[in-house]
Amino acid sequence: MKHLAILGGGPAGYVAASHAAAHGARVTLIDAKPLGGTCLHQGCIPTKVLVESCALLEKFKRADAFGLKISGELSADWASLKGRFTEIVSMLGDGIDQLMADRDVTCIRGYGRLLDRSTIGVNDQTVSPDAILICTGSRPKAQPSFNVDGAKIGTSDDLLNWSDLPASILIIGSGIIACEFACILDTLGVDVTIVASGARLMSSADKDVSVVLQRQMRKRGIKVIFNSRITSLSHGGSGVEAFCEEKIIATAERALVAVGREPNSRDIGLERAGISVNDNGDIVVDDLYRTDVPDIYAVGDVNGRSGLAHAASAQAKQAVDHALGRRYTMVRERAIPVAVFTNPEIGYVGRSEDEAKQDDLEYVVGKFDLRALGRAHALGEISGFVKVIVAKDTGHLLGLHAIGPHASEIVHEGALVIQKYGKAEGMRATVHAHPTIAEAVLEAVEDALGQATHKPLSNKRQANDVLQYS
Amino acid sequence: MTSFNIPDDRHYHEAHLWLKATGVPGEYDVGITQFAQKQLGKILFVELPVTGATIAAGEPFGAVESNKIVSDLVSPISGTVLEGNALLRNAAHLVNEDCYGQGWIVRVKLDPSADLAGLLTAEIYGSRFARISPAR
Repeated sequence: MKHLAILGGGPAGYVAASHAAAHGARVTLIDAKPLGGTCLHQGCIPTKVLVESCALLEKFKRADAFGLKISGELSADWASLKGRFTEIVSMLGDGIDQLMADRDVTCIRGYGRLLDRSTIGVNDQTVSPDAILICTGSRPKAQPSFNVDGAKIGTSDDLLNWSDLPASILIIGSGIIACEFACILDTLGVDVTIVASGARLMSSADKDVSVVLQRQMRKRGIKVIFNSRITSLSHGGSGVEAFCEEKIIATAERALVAVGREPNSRDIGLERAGISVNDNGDIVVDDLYRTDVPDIYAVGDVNGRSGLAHAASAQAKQAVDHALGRRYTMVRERAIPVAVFTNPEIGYVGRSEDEAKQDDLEYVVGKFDLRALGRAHALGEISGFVKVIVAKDTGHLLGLHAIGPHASEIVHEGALVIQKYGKAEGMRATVHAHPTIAEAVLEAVEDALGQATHKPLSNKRQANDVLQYS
Repeated sequence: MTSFNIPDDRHYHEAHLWLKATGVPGEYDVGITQFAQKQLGKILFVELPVTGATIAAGEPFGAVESNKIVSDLVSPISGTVLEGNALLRNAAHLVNEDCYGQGWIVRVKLDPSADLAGLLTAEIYGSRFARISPAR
């Protein structure tokens, strides 16, 4: 029986443990903190609990439009919101513990370090497995000049621990974490200003997605300052001042620093094992997620390949299968979906239009606006679209980009098709249930292939160009 | 055939926008026509360009969201944005109610090189409806 030791119990580590133990390995899982990692304790899960309360609050605020009369005051209570996510996190954490117990995984609570190429030291004991998976994850990045103190200037980890919310906040960053927190805090009544270093939010998404997200944020009163690289943050006046060089460009009561994450690759004994990292500190791995040392793998955030929990889990299963000598399927990075729980929600997979251009691909675009769907009107959420990018010559699906309700769910249709190297024609032939948001996928594909059922005739659009979809 | 109000005190662009001189030389207000307004349906939001933004003929400078569609506003001319109609921020429905008046969208200062010759008169713009299918 092969013995696998895993450093770190997040969505890479605990999933690796579960998978390995289910396939006959003896597994030792080492983490100083409760299992579940950033995802469960400071990331995906608590924020999604908040997102759901916010969605409910937003809907209640519009109850009138839905034909509902609500009397009395409607407000969010931060302490109760925290209570809800704490309870859910705790319950899910117990679930992971039970899963490990079910599979007879040996869990060691402690900080593990490599002592050499085949030994891990943790607490006062040593573990000498046949193979090692490093799944130590990442932490919020913050340069010293940002003066993060956790109270007035914090990262996403700190914010979830705040005992109250400020009246106003600066969010430094423009990626998933910055945008999700901007929407959450705005709904909870915080005056939000995002300071983005680039010209748009969510620069990893298709440009059209950013346009709609930014427009929706503007409608709600979230302020965005573009093209401003903050060089330092300081406590000043009654709050926080954000500087670009010498100039103050924004102030607020507190600040959230969300400028990315950095790998937890220091102080885990990599140098003793002879494992190299790149300039960013990411552990260097090959496509099998092997480090410089045979039988030591690095998966999840610590290898810098993705930064998404589900990508970490997928990498972990592949590495485990390889380590155990099982048949494995290579993770196809192009087919990993991205889900962003902003308001409106975002889901995308594959290439953006810009990436298709960069790769010199010949492509056609199909797009369908959600406001042409009955379901979107019933939901009262009509902003957004589905856009597909299809290879011109072969008809293969290259990318699917959705913004709007349920975008994080419907993206999986695109993920499956891209994973299977499928074509738009197959999606067109697939009957989509009515009335759903997923119908927009069908219409976008039809649009790419020539004519969507619920769009003006393409040959009339020139004359009637006011009806062109943006 | 539905008939549309097309006042003859201004210029028109084939993308269903109008331009009207404000009285100050080189300054024009821009809005959408009644035909466009009817086609769009209930207008929910107008995305305005920021003051000082330069806009180019043929390029989108903003967008109109209705309950049916999101439509780019394609600029009929090149110039600089003097102001967006601040009233529309909280009252986009003014574009439905008074598209030639209170529902104007932006005020622009034309580039010296800007050419109004390519724009349409009310008569010519109106004649287009003979070959455009009426609003559904």
